[in-house]
Amino acid sequence: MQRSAFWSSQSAFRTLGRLSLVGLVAVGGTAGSAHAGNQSAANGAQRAGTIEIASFGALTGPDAVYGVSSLNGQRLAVDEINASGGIDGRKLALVQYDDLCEPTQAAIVASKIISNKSFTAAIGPVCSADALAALPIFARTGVPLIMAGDSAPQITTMVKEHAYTFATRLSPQDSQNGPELATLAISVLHKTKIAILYSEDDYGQGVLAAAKPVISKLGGSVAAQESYTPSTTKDFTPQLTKIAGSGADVLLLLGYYSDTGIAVSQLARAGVSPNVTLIGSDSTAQQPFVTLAGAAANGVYLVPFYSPNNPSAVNRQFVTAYEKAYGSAPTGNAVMGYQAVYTLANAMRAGGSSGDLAERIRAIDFEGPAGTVDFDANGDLKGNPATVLRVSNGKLVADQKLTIALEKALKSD
Amino acid sequence: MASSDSLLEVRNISVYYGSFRALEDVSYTVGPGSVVCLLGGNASGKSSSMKAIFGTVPLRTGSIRFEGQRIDGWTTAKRVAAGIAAVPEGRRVFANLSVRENLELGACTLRDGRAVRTYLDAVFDQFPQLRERQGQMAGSMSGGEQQMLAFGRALMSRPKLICMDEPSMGMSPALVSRNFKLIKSIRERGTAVFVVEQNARAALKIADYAYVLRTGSVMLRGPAEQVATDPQMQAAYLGHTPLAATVPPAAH
Amino acid sequence: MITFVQQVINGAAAGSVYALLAVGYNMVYGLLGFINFAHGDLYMFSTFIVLAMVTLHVPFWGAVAVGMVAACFLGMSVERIAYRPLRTANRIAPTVSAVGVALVLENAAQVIWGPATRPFPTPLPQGLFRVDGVVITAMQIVILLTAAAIAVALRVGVYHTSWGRKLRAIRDDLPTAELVGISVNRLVSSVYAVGAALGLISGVLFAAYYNSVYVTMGLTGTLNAFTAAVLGGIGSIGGSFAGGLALGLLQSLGAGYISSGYQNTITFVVLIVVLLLRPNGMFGKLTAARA
Ligand SMILES: Nc1ncnc2c1ncn2[C@@H]1O[C@H](COP(=O)(O)OP(=O)(O)O)[C@@H](O)[C@H]1O
Ligand SMILES: [Mg+2]
Repeated sequence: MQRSAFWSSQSAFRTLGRLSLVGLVAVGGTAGSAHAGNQSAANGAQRAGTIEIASFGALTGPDAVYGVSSLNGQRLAVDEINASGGIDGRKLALVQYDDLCEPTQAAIVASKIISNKSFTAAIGPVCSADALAALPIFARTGVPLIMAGDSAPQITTMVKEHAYTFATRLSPQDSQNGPELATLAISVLHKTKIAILYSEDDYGQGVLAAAKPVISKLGGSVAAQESYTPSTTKDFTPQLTKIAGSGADVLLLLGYYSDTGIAVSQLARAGVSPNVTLIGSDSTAQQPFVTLAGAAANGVYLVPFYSPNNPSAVNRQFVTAYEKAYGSAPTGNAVMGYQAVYTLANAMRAGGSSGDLAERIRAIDFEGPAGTVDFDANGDLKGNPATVLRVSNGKLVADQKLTIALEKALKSD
Repeated sequence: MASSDSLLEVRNISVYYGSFRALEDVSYTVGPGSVVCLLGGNASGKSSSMKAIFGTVPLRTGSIRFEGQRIDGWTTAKRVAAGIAAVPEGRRVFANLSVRENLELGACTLRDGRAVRTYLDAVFDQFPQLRERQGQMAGSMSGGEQQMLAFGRALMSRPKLICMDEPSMGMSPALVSRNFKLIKSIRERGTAVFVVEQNARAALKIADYAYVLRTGSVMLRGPAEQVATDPQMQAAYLGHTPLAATVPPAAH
Repeated sequence: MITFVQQVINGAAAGSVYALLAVGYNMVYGLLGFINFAHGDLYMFSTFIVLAMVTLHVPFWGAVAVGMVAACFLGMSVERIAYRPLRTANRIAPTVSAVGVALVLENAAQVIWGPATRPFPTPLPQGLFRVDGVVITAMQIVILLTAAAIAVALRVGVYHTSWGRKLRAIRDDLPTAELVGISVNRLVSSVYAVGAALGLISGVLFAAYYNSVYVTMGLTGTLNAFTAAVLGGIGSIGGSFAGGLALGLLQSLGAGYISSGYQNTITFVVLIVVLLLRPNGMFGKLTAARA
């Protein structure tokens, strides 16, 4: 879900690339803030009654998939709320900023947002490293910040240490997904010789770190543990060949679908037996995973914190509206963006315009498409039960039996 | 020489390198099958004159005609294809290519492959050493052999005019006299030669017509025997004193 | 042993793709001494064009033909617009200009096709064979054969055709090449076209092998081509192939036997060691194979 800026031999090239993007945007006269959806919001300060929300995330660059999904979810929510009369007659308006999933850019964007006094709240970013860079800047004014898509545990630490009460986080946590994957493999599917392929960044390492103690607690063993550089590695055969030779009976894929999808498409050529069970982490559970992995995706288990197949009424309504608006099923980032706007709207409705908005956001409790939105003392989302999906005929299908079995197994541990 | 029967006619050209003037209002004429020599001290604009003919420097003013056609807007390749070949200053053979490949490149503007083979044989007949060494890298040959190769390469396109920039520079007296014999034999076949030479005495012996350059302008011109006896020339050049050292700077 | 052989086969296939990319890049360097930082982005952009054609239901080989024409056209335009005016300038100017072109292509691709990694549908054979427990895929065979065929074709083209002779003459001495009547501009243009066409072949093989096309493959491609070229000998055609294969094997064996997390680090350590021991690359001095 989150992307952190990773160190690689290419960072200089990437930085160059990004600089140019910044340059192009600057030449375009928008200087880093792209008013894509709500042009009129730019001078909204003069337009009485509009509630302005700063929205930031990666809108261009290699990580734009995440930022754009989140923005789509936010826009859908804003449109729904405005269509039903807004909040006490006041319309919501998003003002977008592109942080390129670069902490330095995130800091610049955060400064811009806090210096504009017309914002009621801010939503973003989609990368953990950007959140860590932006938080101290937001702390200067304390404008409410709803993070949607930043799953790194360091954020909890920072929020707790500095008592950043203005911040809440609507993201699943890496520390939750790791144990779910391990439990599914060992307790539910009874596979104990575990191979792990993880992304060499905060996300992959975070899920790995959370999974390993559970693996040994449940009596499993790690037969192979291989990593790759996210979005750079395209040839996974060296890692997979080692995994093939390790005798593992299950392979955990801890990474983004854009990488794990390609890795899965290379299993056969690396000699990995088709009998090895595959389990993908939250960030792998996206439909494009199947397009990248091809036929090899069939039978793969996925454990996302959100599934468009979730049968709740609020989710069905959200998925229908999202598909109508964007022509594709919502992703985890999209649902987080959507819930972020509703979190803000519900908090504003709850207390009119009096009192501390940040406090009211933390006190929120409602049913969103991804489950209950309810924050703990550190502003983190309280855990929701995981869904188990299985790829069948190229589609991600919810597996009710395994979902229930996993929930039971997690409770009994 | 009347322009109607001249092969090359360079008229009133000026060449600048940035703001530096290398040639100012210079004219040359080369008749078909004649040998014209260009004399002058260091930096007087001799090489620039050659470059102007091949279009490797732009003209500020003036025009160049070849067989009556304006060629100053043409690419170098088109001028070579029209029948002008170069023996560049310092020979400049392609060192990492074989002798044979160097010669074949001399004919790169020709379309007819069979003709190229015939011409190659003719050059080999004229320079048997080149035939023996056809597979050798050109850079590994001696200076004299490279000079021979540079001549051969220029002959490969069967040009109507060969322009040579100081072919005798750095050569032993024996090789210099061989060069002059070669120039004579080229003329005998009907090919015109425009040659820059430092050895004025020897050059004037074989040339029909001569030009003397000084700081980018023609200071003297005329039939070779007339130039050879010109007192200015006698004092400056043929009396074993370098031209540039004795000729007083032009009064502008 | 099986694992080792498997890693070698996989490394050789990946290396052949790098080699095809490196050779186009290296030809320009060998000819003009420019580091063509736009090479990888040309390869990315033209591969995207093939994908776009396939998406529009153009038959695969037709799409590749369109991509090839587009690659040649792009390569020649880039040369004409960004490099030719600077050919006589110092070497830094065209290099900066190349970076500019790379960024323009990258941003254009991002705007047109978006940032997501796209799968690449291909009719190229996807089957696999097992020999004594070692897996060889049909795609790997296609890649190795294509690379070998192109290596032979280039060798013949550069050493046994008048085109190659002219190229080597330009490389040796550009002003004199012009004086003997070689249309230098046309030849240089053709080298950019050939380089871009080889880039496209490499791009299509890459896309088919890894089932992915994405914007940043341009930067990665430039980096890999550069590494392969430096490893093998910058400016050398034979060296490009050797360097590409070496890079593929290094990544595969380095990840297999040292650590997958240090794949790039291993590559760069070896690159530095090679440069210290043989500053002209493995083949820089040994061959005159520079065109
Ligand atoms: N590429 C150049 N850039 C600047 N000045 C040049 C260049 N080529 C020649 N010159 C200058 O033009 C003048 C004439 O040079 P050139 O034609 O080579 O003389 P020559 O061949 O008679 O020695 C000299 O002063 C020389 O320094
Ligand atoms: Mg000279």
